[in-house]
Amino acid sequence: METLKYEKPLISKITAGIPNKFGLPVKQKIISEIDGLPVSELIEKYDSPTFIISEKTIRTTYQEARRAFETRYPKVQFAWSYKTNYLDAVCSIFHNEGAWAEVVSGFEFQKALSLGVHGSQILFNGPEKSAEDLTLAINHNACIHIDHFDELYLLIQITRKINKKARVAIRVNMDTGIYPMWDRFGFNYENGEAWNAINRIMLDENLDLIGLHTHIGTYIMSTSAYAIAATKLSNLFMATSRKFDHWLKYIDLGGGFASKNTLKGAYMPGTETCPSFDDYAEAISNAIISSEIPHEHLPVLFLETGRALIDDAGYLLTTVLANKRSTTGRRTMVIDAGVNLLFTSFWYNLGVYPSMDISEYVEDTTIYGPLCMNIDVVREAINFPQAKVGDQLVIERVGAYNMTQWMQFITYRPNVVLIDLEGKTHIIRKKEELESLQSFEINPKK
Amino acid sequence: MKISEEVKISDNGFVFNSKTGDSFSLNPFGLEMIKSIKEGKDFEILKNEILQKYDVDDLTFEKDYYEFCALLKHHQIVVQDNPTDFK
Amino acid sequence: MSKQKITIAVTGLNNTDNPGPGVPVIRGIKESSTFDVRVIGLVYENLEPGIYMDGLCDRIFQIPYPSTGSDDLTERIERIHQQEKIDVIIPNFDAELFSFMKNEKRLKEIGINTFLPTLKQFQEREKDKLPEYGKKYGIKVPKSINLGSLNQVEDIEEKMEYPVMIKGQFYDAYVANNEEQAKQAFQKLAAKWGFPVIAQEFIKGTEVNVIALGDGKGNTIAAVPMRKQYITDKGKAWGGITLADDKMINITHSIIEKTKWKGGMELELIKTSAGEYYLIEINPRIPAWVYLAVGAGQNIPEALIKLALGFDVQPMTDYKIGKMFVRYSYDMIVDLEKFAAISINKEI
Repeated sequence: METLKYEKPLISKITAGIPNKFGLPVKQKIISEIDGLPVSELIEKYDSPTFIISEKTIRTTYQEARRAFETRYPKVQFAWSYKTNYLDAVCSIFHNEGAWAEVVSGFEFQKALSLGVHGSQILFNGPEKSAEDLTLAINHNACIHIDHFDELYLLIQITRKINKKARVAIRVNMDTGIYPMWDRFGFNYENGEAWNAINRIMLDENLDLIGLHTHIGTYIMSTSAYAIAATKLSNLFMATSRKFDHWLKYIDLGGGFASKNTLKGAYMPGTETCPSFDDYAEAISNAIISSEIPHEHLPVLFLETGRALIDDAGYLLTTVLANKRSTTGRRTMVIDAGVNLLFTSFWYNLGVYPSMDISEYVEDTTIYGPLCMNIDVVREAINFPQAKVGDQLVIERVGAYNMTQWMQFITYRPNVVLIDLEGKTHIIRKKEELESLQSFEINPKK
Repeated sequence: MKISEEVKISDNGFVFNSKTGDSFSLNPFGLEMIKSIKEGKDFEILKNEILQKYDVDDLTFEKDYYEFCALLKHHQIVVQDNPTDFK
Repeated sequence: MSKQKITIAVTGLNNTDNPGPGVPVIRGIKESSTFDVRVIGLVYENLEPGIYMDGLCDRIFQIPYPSTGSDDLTERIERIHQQEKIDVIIPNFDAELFSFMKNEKRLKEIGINTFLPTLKQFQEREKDKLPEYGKKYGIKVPKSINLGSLNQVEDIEEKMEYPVMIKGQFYDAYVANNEEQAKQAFQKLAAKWGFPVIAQEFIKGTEVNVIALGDGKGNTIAAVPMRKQYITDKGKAWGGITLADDKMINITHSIIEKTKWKGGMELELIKTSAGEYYLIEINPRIPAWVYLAVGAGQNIPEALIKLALGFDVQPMTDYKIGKMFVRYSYDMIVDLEKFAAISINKEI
């Protein structure tokens, strides 16, 4: 006799008033393959958990962003934000597409150099630049984005000492109508600090002021904030030209474009509310083009967008370790990837999906990571089908920040695998081993 | 295990506990199970029936069965023993 | 002449002490002299009173919350449409509007009509943009500051005098009589609704409201001014009376003409003792007290359906002055079967 398809028996309390999807025949999204490669095969070959990066998605996303800006503005240059994902293979793809490098530490600067990026195509941001870092940057003719007056004076000192010119820009912070306003980085626009910094730089013969930079925040859903930022930088640009008869070369609007992930506390899913590259490009290009800057002196527009370019290209494959019931009867599920690998789970409701058709009955579930640590919660509440131990799941949109902010905590960090344009897989960062981790340690007591 | 007398089970999977005022919904397999339990079938009999009828192994079913029973207890649908009597 | 048979789907059947507009909208529709209406109730929750009201809806379906994604919501409506052939949907929750505006075309393609504001109209009236709105359209609005951090509460004093209204981005408002209270309100609202929190000048006067309908071309199809006579602790009108106030009508005409507002709306105004009007808020949908307008002679739900179906609709200018509404609550006795049916089958 042929056997019938089994479903786990379930009972769920009907709560009056509170929406309860239990029992509603919902169409469950499934991610069974990535760029044509079955999830089960990827896990078999590279273990679980594994990060997967799609080269195809990186390139198409990048090209889409470029097209959005280049069709609206004559001179556009992207610089890849290293801190978002500085795996060599990932950076190399962006550089191959034509992106410069945007770095925020000596470590990232050296990483960019090691990947063959020309020093003059490195934008050096951030509040942490040592005398050594600055010297390195000057010697490589990088664009140094000055964050504060102490850095400005340190830079003057160094250029005098080594008798070399530095190419500089200043970072400007400003009120663009968004909350919170970031005022901890750079010189303020409204109180005149930025203008003072420009004046001091223009006085110094060793400093060559070539650009203006701002970075108004992170995960900014409002395109009009970028228009305000572009307008304010254009004002400084024109003021500099009028007072010093000096045309700056670029305006750098930084990053902060939202990705399609859903922020915790947001009512609508990010896929619906996130502006497109076209929306951002329209706002920014219009603001600069309609400013007072004459057409023949329009600056190059630099963009350092990170999150929006890489988030979609990253996936984390994971496996169900256990299903449990809490004392309140709530369903909980333990998976083999936790907050050690998913730093962004602290602010996003990450999308977790089965890799195959499991069950049409979903239940409100808490998903825990594998760490023996109470904070290890990947999703506090998600409607999820009845996955069994060993079922393979896919967490999408994890390409940004997770592979740089992850922790080596309790267990090893997993393989990171790139799927190239031909559908071939390559390990681009090996799973850690005891030996590799202990190689940093020195034990005088052994 | 015995389903409380106050519990009414409808064929569409709606369960109403008139003692507590709570209502519940069952998936089709949950409905089949609760009906069997109500008929007084014990685990061994039920297991044999299910294993013949459905595409499932005995350990998976055992795990799911006891999880389901724990939920029935939690929701006061079955007659309660004192769990710390350790019978 | 026999009436035209149509099927209308309506959300917001939550006629609680903080009522949604669904039930009064349906009452208006049922009084139509043009249409013979079959009503489909769309509900989110299994205790929405409209589900249990005899003779209100012909069918009821549960739909997923917009927060689960407007694709899920739209697909569910498409499935309902296969059975029920919906001619017009009237969404009645603020939180739904975004999803319905986004899917307006998709619904239209399968034959479901809506009559909603455009995304631009919807967004430019948001609370934190009120000063720009007032400037752009020449309407008096209270002074306001958008607060992004607790420190900014100290700036309030420089711009306005206490008391001030402290408002959440989407809902809720508190009166603060001093900085300390403003800070408390700020923290509560920021935690609940995020940033910005809005500090708004407290305008002394009487709150008055207008319910209106714009045809999207600048014409005001309906407008009825009302004063709330009693306000519940949730800030909702418990009783209200229609007013003869040309100034309020003029303000409404002017806003609708300049913005080319499409769809239902409610203007919340404060009338000062000097006879000045300040615009406090625009709700981008039909309000829950719509049945007062119907009773006063302007059947706004019916007119909205006509507009959605592409009829040529002439403006209604008359209404009975001094008509009142008084809300009441009523305990219905219902059987468990309806509750079971909506909970299990998700439809009745």
